[in-house]
Amino acid sequence: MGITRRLILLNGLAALMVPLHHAAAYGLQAMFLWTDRYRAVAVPNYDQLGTLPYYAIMVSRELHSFAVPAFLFVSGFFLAIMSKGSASRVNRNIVSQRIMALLPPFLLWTLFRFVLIGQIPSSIGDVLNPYWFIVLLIQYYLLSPWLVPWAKNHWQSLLVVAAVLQLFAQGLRYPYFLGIDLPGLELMLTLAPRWLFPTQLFNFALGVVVCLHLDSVQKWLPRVRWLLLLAVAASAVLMVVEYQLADRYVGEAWIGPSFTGLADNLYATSVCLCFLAFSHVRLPFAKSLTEIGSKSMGIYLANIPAIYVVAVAMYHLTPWALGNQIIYQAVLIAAGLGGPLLLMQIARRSRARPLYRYVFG
Amino acid sequence: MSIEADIERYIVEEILLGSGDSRLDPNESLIDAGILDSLALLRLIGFVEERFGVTVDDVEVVPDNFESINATKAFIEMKRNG
Repeated sequence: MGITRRLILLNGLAALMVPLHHAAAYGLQAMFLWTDRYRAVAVPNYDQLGTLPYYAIMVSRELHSFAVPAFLFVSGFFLAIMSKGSASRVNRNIVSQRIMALLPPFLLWTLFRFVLIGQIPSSIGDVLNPYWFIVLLIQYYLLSPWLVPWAKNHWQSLLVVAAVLQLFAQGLRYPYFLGIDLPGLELMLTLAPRWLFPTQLFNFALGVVVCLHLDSVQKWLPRVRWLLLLAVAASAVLMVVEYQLADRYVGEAWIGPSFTGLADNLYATSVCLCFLAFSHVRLPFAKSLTEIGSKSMGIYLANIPAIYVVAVAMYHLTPWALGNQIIYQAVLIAAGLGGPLLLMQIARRSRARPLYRYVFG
Repeated sequence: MSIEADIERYIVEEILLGSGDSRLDPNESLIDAGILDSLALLRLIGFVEERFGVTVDDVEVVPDNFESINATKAFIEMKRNG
């Protein structure tokens, strides 16, 4: 299978990871913040820290964390396709078309989410954080008329600059996660929100570079594929260890689900490249993954409210299930993946069909 | 059904989903018109491979080959004729 087709599978795999990732976050919420619904305790309650279900959810949540980086990698690659051939199409026209296609679903689902949770946004972060992948993508599209020629002519310097910016932006958030009270920390956080372009720039730039230098990449990948597989395994372990170390450093109770370690970057990059390096390996359910990959935007958009609705419904209607993570996770994952797919299918077959692109991207 | 009609039907029904014109100019640039973004381009390539039994290599995944309905048709014919 060619690398280009393989990327749709990667997109599908990433789309599959998104509901898993969000379901895990709700799983942790049920463990620590909703404990009083199934045990006679006061919340927050951290009795389940260090238990098998806790580790299972934490580890699985970490392993799913490559989803947004992979989306951006694939988006960078797909955008760069437009610069190939007789003339580059990565121009103002394409950029504005892409952004105009992203804005309606972004605005619609952001608004819907606020209505659903009954919250009035109090900061720009409240608006941009929930669908941060789209916010980042818009920024990368805006930068692409410069990024693409840079990737064509000086790809090494682009990757180095992008990696430095990404690590710096993520590093700025580290003291906050660790609870270190530094002078100017507030300012640092304001300067480095996760939806601002430096935080994932490397992943998008790497996708562009891989696309534009495909011949060289195709020769290089088979030579390093076992090394990449090792990197995936090593960085996965490193990622889990980093989280646990940070959690112990914080000491009091639990560091929370929003912690993003620096090892996550190595893991996400290794996963993307490793997936391409083993493109000769046939995956089970490849057709379904391709289908999911082509609907990744809709899944990304609709899984958040779908999981929220089901989690809250279970909180009220079946509180006992919150204490059984196998049942709870299974229901949330089914809702987060099945809900959006069902909605999309209904929209495609209904009179709302012409509106599909504006709702699901 | 002709190759052009097949491609047009696929674009109108599966990519535009009824949100655009039901007829397309076969020489119109699908990319400049905003009909084909990258993901749609790859879906079109998937359709071309399945429907017309041709294999599209990585190096052939370039906008020029799928610029318009006629360009896509020419590409399919070129692949079929070896």
